Amino acid sequence: MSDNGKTILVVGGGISGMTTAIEAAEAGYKAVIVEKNSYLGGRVAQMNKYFPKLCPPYCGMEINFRRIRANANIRSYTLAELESARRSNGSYEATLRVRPRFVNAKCTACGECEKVCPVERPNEFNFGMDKTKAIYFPHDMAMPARYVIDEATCPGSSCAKCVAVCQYDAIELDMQPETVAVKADAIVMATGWDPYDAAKIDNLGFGPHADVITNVMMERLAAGNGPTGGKIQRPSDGKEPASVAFVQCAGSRDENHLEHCSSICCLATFKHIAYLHEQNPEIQAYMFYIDLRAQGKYESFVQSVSAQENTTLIKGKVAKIEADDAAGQLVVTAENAVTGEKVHQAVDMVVLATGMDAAARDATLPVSMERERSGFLLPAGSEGVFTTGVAKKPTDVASCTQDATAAALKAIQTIVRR
Amino acid sequence: MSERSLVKPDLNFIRELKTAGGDTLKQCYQCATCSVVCPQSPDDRPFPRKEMIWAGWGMKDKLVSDPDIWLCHHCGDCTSYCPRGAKPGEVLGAIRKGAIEHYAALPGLAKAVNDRSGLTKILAVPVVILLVGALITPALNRILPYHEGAYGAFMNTWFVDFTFISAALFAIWSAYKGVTNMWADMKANSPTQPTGNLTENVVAVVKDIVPHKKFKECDVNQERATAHMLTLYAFIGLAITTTIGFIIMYFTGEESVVGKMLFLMMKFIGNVSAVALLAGAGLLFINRKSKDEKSGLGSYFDWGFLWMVLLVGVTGFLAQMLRVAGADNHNPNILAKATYFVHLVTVFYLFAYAPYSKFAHLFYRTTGLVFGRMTSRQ
Repeated sequence: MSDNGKTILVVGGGISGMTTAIEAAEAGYKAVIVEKNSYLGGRVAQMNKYFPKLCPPYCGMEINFRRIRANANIRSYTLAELESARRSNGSYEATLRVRPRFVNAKCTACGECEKVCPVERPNEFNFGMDKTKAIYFPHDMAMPARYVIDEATCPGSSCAKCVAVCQYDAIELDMQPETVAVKADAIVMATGWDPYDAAKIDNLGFGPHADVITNVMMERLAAGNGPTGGKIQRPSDGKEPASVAFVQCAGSRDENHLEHCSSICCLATFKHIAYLHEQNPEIQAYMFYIDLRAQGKYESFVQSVSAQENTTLIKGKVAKIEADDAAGQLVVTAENAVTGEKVHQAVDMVVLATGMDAAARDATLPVSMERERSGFLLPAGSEGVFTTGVAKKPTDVASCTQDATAAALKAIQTIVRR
Repeated sequence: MSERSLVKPDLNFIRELKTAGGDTLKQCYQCATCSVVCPQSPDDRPFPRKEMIWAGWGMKDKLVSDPDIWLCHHCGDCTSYCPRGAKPGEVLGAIRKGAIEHYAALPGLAKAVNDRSGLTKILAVPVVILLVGALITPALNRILPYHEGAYGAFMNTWFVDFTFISAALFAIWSAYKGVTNMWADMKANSPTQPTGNLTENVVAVVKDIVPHKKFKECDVNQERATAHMLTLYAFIGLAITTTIGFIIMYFTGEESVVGKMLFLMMKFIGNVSAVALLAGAGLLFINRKSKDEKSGLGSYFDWGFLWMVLLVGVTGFLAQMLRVAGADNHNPNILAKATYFVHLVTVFYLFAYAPYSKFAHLFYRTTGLVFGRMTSRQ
């Protein structure tokens, strides 16, 4: 593929960032991806299935990974962050800070190191629902397909059992942080989102009650590569729940938490009800909502889910979750605003439909960029800087990829018109 | 809820609610968080979600006759958890003001009492009466009994009693009229009719009110219950004090043994109550002041009444102190007389306007709680 010598720097290696980089590179530009995790794929990699076709994200991801691998114009840095970007002569002199992975490119992902590693850490990829060793493979389809060492947990050279067992000399416990200089002609911010911290919602029992989980945890529970191998079960005792309550707008559209609507949580819950019924059609699902919000073509999901058996939709926000210790259940309370009666529904498990919080909400940005009150970035910042995907507004994967393609075009235009 | 009804919005009522502290009511998006976090709300037709939509739609008739607005003790849990900043607690307070004004025997008087602009007029009534009283006191004191140790030389005691008994009778008539009208409307609009013996239910409700049983169920604002209880007990104590004073004045006299004992009792209860009133109202005042904007700041309806209660306490206490501290106990100086005069004016305000001011909650809340009890709503 030809290369016109112009570079687009993409901050964030999730579905949006990867798409922008690939589209720009395939149009003949150099693309540099800066990703803070140890792998590309971002939040989508953590999904079990995604809209609109309800297929596992790995099929879509794999195509993108292949396009990245096949394209010499794309360079990606994981465990990396954009430290600064200085405007100079119509382009940016960017500095990336790359944290040490402690595992070099010789790694074949054979897994011998993991077997001998004596320390464990909570697996943030599965939202702490299981553990990995201090040296671990980020997830099944991780790109780059290399192990990584968690600096905070690893005892370092005093242990070095992994170094001894690695026959490829892939482990370097003395690896140092690096800085990389990149000359960028345009920058695209694809910083994405974090799930809202459910522990901040003090009336919904996340934390005190083990069987109150969040929607993103539900994705991991349902995923074949998740902590339970794809079996949806209660964290407290590992039993399959006979009934599950879904609490919509958990910390969303709420001035005490996230003021905005994340626009995807209603759909995510429809999807989760489908997961439950794929596992066992007898599981009772109760969805408590303020309004059902399914944008555009997704409206059809409302009809199909509400017509499903063992599915009850109740208009009323859950504002209290208590444990019924004798029954080993949770009791969720809402007022059914249609009948005007309070509902005290006993269930085995509760899923909080938490929203998308802008990942860059409180970050000090290396480029000049305005934020909305909600923390999401405006579409464009200082010259040659654009935003794409959920960094701009909460939305679904399909919209992100379209928007990311548009962002690549905007970045290209700003270079061409210069 | 499912029956069809045509909503006829009372836009004026919506405006009134908005100016009385319910300015946020249109923020509500009916999620019903409030009904769930409220520690007082029943399972059947809980509040305040339905009141919020009635208020938004201006359904005055439903709101003023709704017993649930009196089941609300203004804990503030709903307001602090409200995702929209709609402040249901404040809106219900504004609705209660609306109900007090709606059922007022003299609606114009209620408007004047609860609006800052009416203050001069409504204070002018006791000021004029009492000025006349002070003017004719020298003449009255020649023909009627008076009490030398209680500013009798300044304001004839019989005249004071006559004025205040008349004010009390006016208040009782007003309250009776308002309460009976509200009861009739509550019966007409309630899907369930009250059952059981009225007297027994009133006794049961009073038994709950005295220790503030319901009030103490509030999660937020526990200290408000204590402050309110102190104020209520102070008023009960002052009522007892007044009764004893009345007995001494007209029956026993101060010289007999019984009279002397009663006098000591009156002074003791009176002073303890005065301190309790100052402490209780003071705490309520501080509590209201320290509330942030998010939980609502109340309106003139709340503040005007609270100031008046505080003034009654302060002037009452000072009037006694200034008289005792003065050179001649039986001929108080001008400062003492002025303080006593202000005290009488403020007491008149509390007495005569009780069914019209925030004080009316004493009657209407009790009625609402009795109705709620007799329809199994609490």
